[in-house]
Amino acid sequence: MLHLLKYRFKSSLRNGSSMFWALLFPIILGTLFYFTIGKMDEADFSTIPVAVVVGEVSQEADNFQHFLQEIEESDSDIIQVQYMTEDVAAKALEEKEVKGIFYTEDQISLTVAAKGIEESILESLLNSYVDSAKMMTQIGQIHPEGMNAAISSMSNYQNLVQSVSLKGKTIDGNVQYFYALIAMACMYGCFLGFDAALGLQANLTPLAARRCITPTHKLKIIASDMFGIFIIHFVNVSILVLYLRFILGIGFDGEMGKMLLVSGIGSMIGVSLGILVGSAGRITENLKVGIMLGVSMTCSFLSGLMVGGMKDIVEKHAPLLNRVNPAALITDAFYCINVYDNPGRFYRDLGTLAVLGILMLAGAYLIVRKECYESV
Amino acid sequence: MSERSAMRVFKGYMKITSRNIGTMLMYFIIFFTMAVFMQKTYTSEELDNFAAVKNKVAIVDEDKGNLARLLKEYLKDVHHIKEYSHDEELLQEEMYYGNIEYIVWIPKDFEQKLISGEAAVKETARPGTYSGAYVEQQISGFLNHLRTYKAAGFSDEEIEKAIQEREKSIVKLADPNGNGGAASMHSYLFQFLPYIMIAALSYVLSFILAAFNNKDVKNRMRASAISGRREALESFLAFAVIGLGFWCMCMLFTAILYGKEFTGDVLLPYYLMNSLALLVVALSISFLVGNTVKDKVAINGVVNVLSLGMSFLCGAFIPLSMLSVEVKKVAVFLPVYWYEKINDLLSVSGRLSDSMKITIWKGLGIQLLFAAACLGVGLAVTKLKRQE
Repeated sequence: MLHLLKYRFKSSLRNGSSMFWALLFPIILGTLFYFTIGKMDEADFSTIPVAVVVGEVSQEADNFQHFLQEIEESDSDIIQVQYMTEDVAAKALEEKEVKGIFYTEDQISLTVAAKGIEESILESLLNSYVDSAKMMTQIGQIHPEGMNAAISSMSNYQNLVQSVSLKGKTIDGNVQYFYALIAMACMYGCFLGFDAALGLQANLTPLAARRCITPTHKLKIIASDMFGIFIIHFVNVSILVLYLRFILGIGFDGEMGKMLLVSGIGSMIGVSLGILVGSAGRITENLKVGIMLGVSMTCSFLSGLMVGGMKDIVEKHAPLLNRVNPAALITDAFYCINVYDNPGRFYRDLGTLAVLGILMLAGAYLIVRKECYESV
Repeated sequence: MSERSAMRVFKGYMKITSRNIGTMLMYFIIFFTMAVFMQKTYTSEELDNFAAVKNKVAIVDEDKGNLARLLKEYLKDVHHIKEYSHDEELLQEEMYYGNIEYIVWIPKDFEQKLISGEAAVKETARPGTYSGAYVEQQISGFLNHLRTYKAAGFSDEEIEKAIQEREKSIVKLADPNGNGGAASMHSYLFQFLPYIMIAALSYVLSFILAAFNNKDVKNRMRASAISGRREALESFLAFAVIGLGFWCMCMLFTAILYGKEFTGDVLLPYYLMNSLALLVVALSISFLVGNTVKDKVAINGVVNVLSLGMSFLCGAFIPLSMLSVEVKKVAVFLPVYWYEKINDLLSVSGRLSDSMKITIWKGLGIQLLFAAACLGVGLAVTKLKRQE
C-alpha cells in the first residue's frame, strides 16, 4: 500500500500540467488579485484642482472667494484653487488639468466636464455654501432676534457624526475574491483526480489496463490513488491559503485550523469530481476536460470569483443554488470564520460540504470499482 | 513552381488553424459573454456614480421624530437610501457585499443630542474611503444647519419650510463626448479586448509555431525546395491573415452589439488604430512564445499567465483609475497599459485636443516598440536554434 502511495505521489507530482493548474495557477492568480483588487481601495484621490473665473465684482463673489480660501487653507486638502481667465480655464477643463470651474459673479456657478466623485465633491462644496447663505437670509427674515445665536452656532461647527463599526471583523468585500479563489483552487483538484482516473480505467489508457490485470486488490489501488491525490491537493490548497495569509497578508483573521478544515473538504470534492468525470462514460478526453473546466468555473463564478457580490445575487434569487454549490459553500464558510461569527451557519456549510464530498467520493468509487472488460 | 505547390507554408498554417478553430471560437464566445456581462455591471455602477455621486446609504431610524425625518428626506434627495431595522448581521452582510456603502444610525435621543451639540448620529463607513468621507461631510453639514436653525429659534415646521426653500446650486456640464460625461458603451468592450486577443491568438499561433519548430518537421522543410526566405514570408503572411481575421471578427461583433453608437463614433479611427496596435503586440507575443516554448502544456501555462497577468496589471479587468500607484509603476513597462491608457482617453472624450493626440501617438508608438522587441528576441532565438 505504501509502495502504491509512493508511486502515486511521484507520478502526480511529475505531471506538470495538472500541478500547474492545481497549485501554480491559483497562486499566480492570487498574486494578481492582491496587486489589483487587494489594493483597489488604496487608489487614493488626490487634491482636486479647480479653476476660479472672477466675473463682476460683487459681495456674493467676494464671500465665495473667501469661503474657497478657507477650505483650501483647512487641513482637509480637498481642493487646490487656481485663478484663471475664462478662456484659459475652459481650455484647462478640456485638457482635464482642472476638474471644474467656479464662475464667481453675483450668482456662483460651477462647470464640470464629467460626473465622477471629484465633480460631486465640488458640487457639494458649492451646495454647502449656497445653503448656508440661504439659511442666514432666512434667519434674518423670519427670526432676526435669533441671528446672534445662529452666528455663534455656525462658528461653533460641531462634528455631529460618530463612527461606529459593526460586530463583523471586516466590511472589506474585496476579500471575497480571495475566498472564491481558494474555492476555485479546491475545485481545480479535479485535474489531479482526472489524471488518476486515467490510470484506473482500463479502457482509457494502456497504463490502466496494465494496472487492472495486476493481482493487487482493486480497492487497494483505488484507495491509494484517491488518498494520495487528496493529500497532494490538500497540501496544494494549504500552500495557497498560507501564501495568501502570511506572504500577501490578506486579512484571514479567523482560526487557521478551521480554514484548513474547510479547504481539506473542498479539496476532497475537487479531487472526487475529477475522478468521477474522468471515469464516467465513453466521451473523449477533451470533452471531459471541458466538462470539468465548465463545472469548476461555473461554481467559482457563482461564488464570486469574477464579479464580487455574485454569491449575494444568487442568495437573493436562487438561494438553493448557494446551498449545494461547493464553491459557494466554501466561500460562505470562510465568511463565517473570518468575517461574521455564526457557528450555526458555519456548521451547516461544513456539513453540506462533507455530505457532498462523501457522495462524490462514493460515486467515483462505484464507477471505478467493479468494471469488467471482455478482453483486457 | 507549379500552381499546386504554391503557398505550401501558408496553407500549412491555415490547416492547423482550422483544426484549432474550435478553441479560438470558445475563447471568443466565453470572453465576449464575460465582457458584455461585466460591462453591464460596470455601467450600472458608473451610472450610480453620476450627476453628483449617489451612494447606497442604509438608515436605521430609532428616533422617528420630525428632525430625523428631515434628515432622511435630505439624504433621500442626495443618495439612494434604504431603511433597515436594527439587524446587525443583515447590515454586516449587505455592507460586505457592497449592497450598501454607508450606514446612518439615528438613536432614540437624536433631537436632544443635536441641540446640545453632541454626536447625534452614528455612522458606519468603509474606513478610509472618499465616498464615506463625502457622505459624512454632507450629514454633518446638514445637522449643523438644523442645529443653527434651532438655535435661531425656528420651530420644526419652520425648519421644514426653510429647508424646502433651499435652492439647488447651478452646475453646468460641459459635455465633451455627448454622453453626459459617461464612457461610451463600446469602450468597455475595448477595455477587455487585450485579454481575448492575447489569450486566443497566442494560444493558437504558439501551437502552430511549436508544431513547425518540431525538429523533424524543421529538417524536412529545410530539405525542401522552398527557400527560408519564402518560408518566413509566408509565415508572416499567415500570421497577418489569422490576426486580421480575428480582429475583424472582434470588430464585427462589437458593431453588431452596439450598432450606430460604435460605427458612428467620431473617434472610431482611433479605436481601430489602437486595437490594431494591440493586435501587432499579440502577434509578436505569440511569435516569441511559439519560438521559445516547445512543450504544449508549457505553452498553455505561459499564455495564461501572460494574458491574465497583463490584463490584470494593466487595467483590462479593473479600470486603470482604480489601480494603485505601485501597480501602475510596473504596468508602464507593459504594452497593454498604453493600450488601456489610450482607450480611457477615447472613452470619455468627444474630440481630441493636441495634447491628447500626443498621448495617443506616444501610446501607439510604445506598443509597436514592444512588439518590435518581442519580434527581435523571437528572431534571435530562432537564429540561435538554427545554429545549434
